[in-house]
Amino acid sequence: MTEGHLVSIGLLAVMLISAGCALAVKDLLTAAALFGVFSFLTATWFALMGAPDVAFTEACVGGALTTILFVSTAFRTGRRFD
Amino acid sequence: MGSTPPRPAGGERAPRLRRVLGAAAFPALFLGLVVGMTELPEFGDPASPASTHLSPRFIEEGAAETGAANMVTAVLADYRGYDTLGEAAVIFAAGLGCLVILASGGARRDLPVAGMSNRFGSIVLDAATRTLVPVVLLFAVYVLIHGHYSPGGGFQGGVLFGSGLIMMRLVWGPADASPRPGSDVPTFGLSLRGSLVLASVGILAYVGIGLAAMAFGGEFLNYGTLPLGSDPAHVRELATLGIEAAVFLTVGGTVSLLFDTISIGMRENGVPLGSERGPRE
Repeated sequence: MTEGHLVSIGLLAVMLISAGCALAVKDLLTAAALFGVFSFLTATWFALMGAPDVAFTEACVGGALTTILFVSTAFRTGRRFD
Repeated sequence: MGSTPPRPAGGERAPRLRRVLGAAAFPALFLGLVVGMTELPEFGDPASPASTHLSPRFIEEGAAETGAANMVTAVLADYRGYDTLGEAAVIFAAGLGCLVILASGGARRDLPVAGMSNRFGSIVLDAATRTLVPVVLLFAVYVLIHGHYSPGGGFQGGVLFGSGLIMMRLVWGPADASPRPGSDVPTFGLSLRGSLVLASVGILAYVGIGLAAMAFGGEFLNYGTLPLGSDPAHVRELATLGIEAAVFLTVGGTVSLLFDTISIGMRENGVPLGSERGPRE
């Protein structure tokens, strides 16, 4: 097992954890932030796989834009999900 | 529907018929797709047509044919320009859908809004925004122009541009609002209508470049015939830059439109557009 494999496994594990936490938490702002974490890790993963264009798009859209839209929607609809 | 008198049984039969048809159509479509799928080449098969004909052509001839050193840009904006037009149209349609659903009537005015100048405004945020926003906007244009040579292009640049606009709105409040009392911060940025115009201009420019190629004797979105010079690769490079700029406008406009419809548009009950629509109805 090479060093690259270890980095990949670590990245994917943290991605899984952040995605699961985003589903589990009741506070929508926290969920949006966790989803942003997930998106940035996905972008890192894409960059490691040798797809910088896709990584760039994922970082812009998933990490920044979608998170902002989720946060502003949470402001409109109420912060908690029960 | 409104003109026919209500029938006791017929009123239920039509939906039921539709449901039965839908229930029959779904498995038929599913089976058809599954059968069709078995005809496709194996995933990752090196002997498939895509691997033996298309990929080598894109890799070997792409830079010489399109003038774009970044292969992704060559494929997205030139070889697969039709696909990208569809993607831009989908993004534009999504923005329009949000506008129609969120910014027209029935919006609640008693909820807090994400244009938070009065909630989160502080001198730190203000100074950081003043410093960051020009860099973000300039970087967006750099990403657009440099898409031929490095990762990036119209889509990423457009999202960055829209993010810069959103950042100003988040900290300084909506573009349509009057300035904060006692503040020298100008309200700056696109209005809801400005975003819509920007996105529409982008889509129209994209289609226009495609039609211009047809007008000069080529095919739709096949830029080789455009009268922009003698070197075909250079002509394609310029046309690709035009396409990327069109995508940039579409995505940038739609991104800021999305944020506006979620924050400003809902609060103002669709005022930027609704104020015109009201008297006509």
